[in-house]
Amino acid sequence: MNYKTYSMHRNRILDFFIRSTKGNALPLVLMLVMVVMLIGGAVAYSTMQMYNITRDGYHDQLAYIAAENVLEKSMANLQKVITVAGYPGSRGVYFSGNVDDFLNNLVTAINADAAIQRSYTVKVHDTLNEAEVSVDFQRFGQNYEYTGSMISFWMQIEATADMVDESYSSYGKKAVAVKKFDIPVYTRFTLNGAIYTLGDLLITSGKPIATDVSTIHGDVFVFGTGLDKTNRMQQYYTGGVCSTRDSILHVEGSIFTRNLVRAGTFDDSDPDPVTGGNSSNIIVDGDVVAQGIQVFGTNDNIVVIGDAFTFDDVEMNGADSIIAINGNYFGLNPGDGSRHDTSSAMVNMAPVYGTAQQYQESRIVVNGNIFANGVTFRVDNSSGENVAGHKMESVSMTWRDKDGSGYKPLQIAESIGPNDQAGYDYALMESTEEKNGFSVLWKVDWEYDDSTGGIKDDWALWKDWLEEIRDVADFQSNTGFLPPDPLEVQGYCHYGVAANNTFYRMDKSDMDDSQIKGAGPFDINVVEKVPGLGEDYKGMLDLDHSNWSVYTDSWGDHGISGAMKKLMGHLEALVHVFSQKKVMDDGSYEYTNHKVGTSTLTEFNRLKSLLADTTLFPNDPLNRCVVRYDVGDATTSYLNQELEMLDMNNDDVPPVGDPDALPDGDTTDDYLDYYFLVVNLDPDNTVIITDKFNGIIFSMGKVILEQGAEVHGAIIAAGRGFDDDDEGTGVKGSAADVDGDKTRLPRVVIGESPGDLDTVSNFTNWDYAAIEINNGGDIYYPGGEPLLSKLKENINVEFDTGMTDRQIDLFHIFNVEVAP
Amino acid sequence: MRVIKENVSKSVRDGTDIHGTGEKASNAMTETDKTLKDLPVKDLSEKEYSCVFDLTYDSMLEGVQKYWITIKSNSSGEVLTKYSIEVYAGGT
Repeated sequence: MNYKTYSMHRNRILDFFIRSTKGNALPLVLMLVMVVMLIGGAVAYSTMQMYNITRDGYHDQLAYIAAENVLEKSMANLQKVITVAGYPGSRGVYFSGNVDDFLNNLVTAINADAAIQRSYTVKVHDTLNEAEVSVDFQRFGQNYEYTGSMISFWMQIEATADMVDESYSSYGKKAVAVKKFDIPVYTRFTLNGAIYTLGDLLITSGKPIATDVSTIHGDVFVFGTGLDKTNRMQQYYTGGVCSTRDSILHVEGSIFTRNLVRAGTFDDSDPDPVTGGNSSNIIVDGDVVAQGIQVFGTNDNIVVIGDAFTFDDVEMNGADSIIAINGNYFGLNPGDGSRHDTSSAMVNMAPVYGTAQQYQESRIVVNGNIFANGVTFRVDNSSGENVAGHKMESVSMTWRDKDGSGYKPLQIAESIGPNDQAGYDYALMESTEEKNGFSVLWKVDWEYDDSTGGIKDDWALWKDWLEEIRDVADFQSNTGFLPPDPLEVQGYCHYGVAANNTFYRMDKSDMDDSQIKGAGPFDINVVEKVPGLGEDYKGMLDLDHSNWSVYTDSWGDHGISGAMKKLMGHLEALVHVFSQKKVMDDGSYEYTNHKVGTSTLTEFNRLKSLLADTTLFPNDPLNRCVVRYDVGDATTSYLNQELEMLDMNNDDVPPVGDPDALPDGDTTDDYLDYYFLVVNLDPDNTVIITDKFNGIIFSMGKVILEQGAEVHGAIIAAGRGFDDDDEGTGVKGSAADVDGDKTRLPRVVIGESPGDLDTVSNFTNWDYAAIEINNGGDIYYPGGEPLLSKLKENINVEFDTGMTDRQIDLFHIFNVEVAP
Repeated sequence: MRVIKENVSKSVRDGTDIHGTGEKASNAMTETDKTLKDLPVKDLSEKEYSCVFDLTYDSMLEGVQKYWITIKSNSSGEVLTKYSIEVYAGGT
C-alpha cells in the first residue's frame, strides 16, 4: 500500500540521522542536532507532504469510488421504483400528451420522492470510515422517445461523496452517470372513433362494387395481426386494415394502425380484372398512420386523400394497381440500417415481378411533398437467407436500359453486387447515364387532385383520378403528363427520388445543387388527434431550411430527420390504443398490452370488467337496452333478429280499452328507436349484424357486418386470440386475453422446420379478424358525445310490469366529456 | 485501483472476462471462499502492473453486486489496500 511504503521510508531516514549523531561533543551534538532537526525536519516535512498528498489522493480515490458505488445503487433504485407502471400517477404526475411537461414534472417528483433514496452511507474501505453520499437527479438533454405507452428519456444522476477520517478528509467528490429510463405512461381509453380492434379489420365481398361500397364514417383504430419478428420477407402475412375480393372501403375519417393498410390477397391469386376478377379498394378521406401501405393483388387500389405516415414502407406489389397519396408522404422511421422493415421508404416492386404490361403499369402516386427518413434495401440472398444488402434511394426504383435490351433495375443493369454500396452509389449519384424512375409519379398536375373541386371535396372522384393515372402509366414509362416545376420538388430523403421518368437527386450539403428542395410552409393536421397535442404541434415539421446542412442532418436532432423521429413517437399513441408492438434488439417484436397503473389489468379488460358488471348492465334488452352474451351462450348471435322480436314500444297489440289505437304495422322495427349496449364476453361467439343497429358493441370475439348492416355507433372488438402451443390450432380465446405474462395478440409465426408452430393459415383464413365487413356494410360514428347522449337519452316505456330503465350512462367509462 | 475497478465492473455488466485475467467476476460466487485469488492487473492498453488482486464476492441487493478487491504487491506479498466496489448489473 502506497502510504505504508512512504511511512516506512520516513522512519528509515529519521533513524539514519539519529544514528549519525552518536558520540559527538555537545556543541557539535547541539549543532548537529539542530542541523539534524533542520534537515531531519525538512526531510520529515517533505516526506510528510508526500505522504499527505499521496494519502489524500488515495483517500480522494476512495471517496470517488464511494460516489460511483452510490451511482450504481441509485440506478438500481430508480429502475426499481420509477419504471413501474403507474409510478408517475402515484406521484401526481399525469401524462396529458405533452412529453416535455410530463418529463420535467416527473424529474421534479423524483427529486422529492421519499421512496427514492437520496443519501447513502457507504463502506468503501475495510478500515477507514464510511462515506456519506448524496444524489441528485436531472434530465439529461431534451431528447426522448415516445411509443404511445412508454416514454424513454435520459436522466443524469450526480453523486457527491464526503469521506472524513482522523487524518484525511475528502469532500465533495462527484461522480456522474447518465442512464436511459423507460417510463410506462397510462393513457385512459377515450372513445374517439368508429372502430377499435385487437385483430384485423377485414373488408370483403358483399354487394357488387359497381353499385355499393362500405362506408366507415369516423376514425378507425386497428391493432391487427403482425409478424413475429422483423426482417420477414413475407410482408403479405401482415394484417391491419385489409380490403380483399371485390370490396371498396371508404373511410370518412382517418386510419390508425400498427399494421398495414392493404388491398389485395396474399399472393397473385387474384383473377385478372379483364376477365371479371376481384378488385379491392380503400379510399381514406383523412390521413393514414400505419406500419405500411401495401397493395398485393391485381387491380387493387389505395387512395389517401390526406397525408400518409408510415413506420415502415409504402410498397406496391400488385399488378395494374395504384397507391395514390393526395397529400404529403412522411416515412418516419430512419431504421437501424439492417432491418428493412423498420426503415421508412417507398418502393414500387410490381415491375420487378413481371414484364407483363399489368405489372409495368402499376404506380405509386404522391401529390404532396415526400419526406422519407429511411431507405430501400437490396435483398441479399446469396447466403441462402434474405438479408439486407446495399442501400438504395428512399423512393425507388430506378431503372436503366443499359444495352438496348430493355429497362432493368439499376443494380441489375449495372451488374452491381448485392453488397456493393460504392458501386450502387456511383451508378445512382455520379453516373450521367439515364435513370428512369417511371414507377412513381410525383406532383404531377392531375385534373382530379385540385384543392378545391377535386377529390378533397368529392371523394367519389377517386375513380376518375385513378383512370387519369392509368392513362398516363405506360409500359416502363409515363406519357402525356405535366411534371412539376423543379422548385416544387420538395421534401427530404436519402439519395433521392426515382419518379416521373427520371431521378431527383438529394444533395444534403447544398440545396442549390439538390434537385429536392426544402419544403414550403405546411401543417400536419393529424397531431391534433394525439392526446395532449394540438394546434402548436401542427408546424413541428415545418422547419427553417435556410441552413440546409443542419436541416438535412440525419444524425442530429435539429433537422427534419430528428423532427420526424419525434413525430413518430407522438403518432405511436394513435396506433397503440390498447396494445403495442415494439422492435427488440434481437430482431423480434414484443407484443404487450397496456396495463392499468400497477396492476396486471389491461386497459381493454378494464373496459370489459366495467361493461360486464351485471349490476350496472344486466342482460335485459327490453327493459335496459343492454344485450349481453356470456361465455357458452351461443357460437353465432344474429343481433338484429334477436332485437326484432322485442316489442320495445309496447304497441304490437293495441292496449285493451283503447279501441282507437292501431296495432304496430311493423312489429320488427321498434328497436331502431333505441340505442343499445351490446357486450359479448365469449370469444367463440361471433356477433353478426344484418340490418340497421344503433349503439355500441363491445366484443371479446369477432363481429361481422353483413352487406345490409348499418351500425350507427361504434364497435370495440377483439378477434380470436393467438396460441403459441405447438399442439394447438394457433387460435385460442380472445386477442384481449392475458394468460400470465402471455398475450394473445394476433401474430403470424412462420414455421421454419416441420413440427414448428406455424400460424400462416390462421391468418390467411382470417381467424384473427376482429371485425369483418361485407361490401355494403356501413358504420356511422356520430361522435363520442352525440353517441353517448343517445344512449343516455333512451326513452322509457310503461309496461304492465312497470316503467323501463333504458338510459345508459357510459360517459365516464368511455372517458367522454358531456357537452356543456 | 481505478484499472481494477473498471475491469471488474465491465465484467459484471457484460458477463465477459475481467480484462487480462481469463476469469469472469461472477466466477467468484462459486468459489468456496467466494474469492478469485492473485489475478493479474492489465489495463486496456495492455500495460501490465506489478501488483495482483483478490476479488471477493460479497452480496447482491436489488441487482447491485458488491465485491471486495484486495490489492497485493504479489501473490504472497503484502496487502496494499482493500476496498469495495458495487456494480448494477442492470446496466448503465
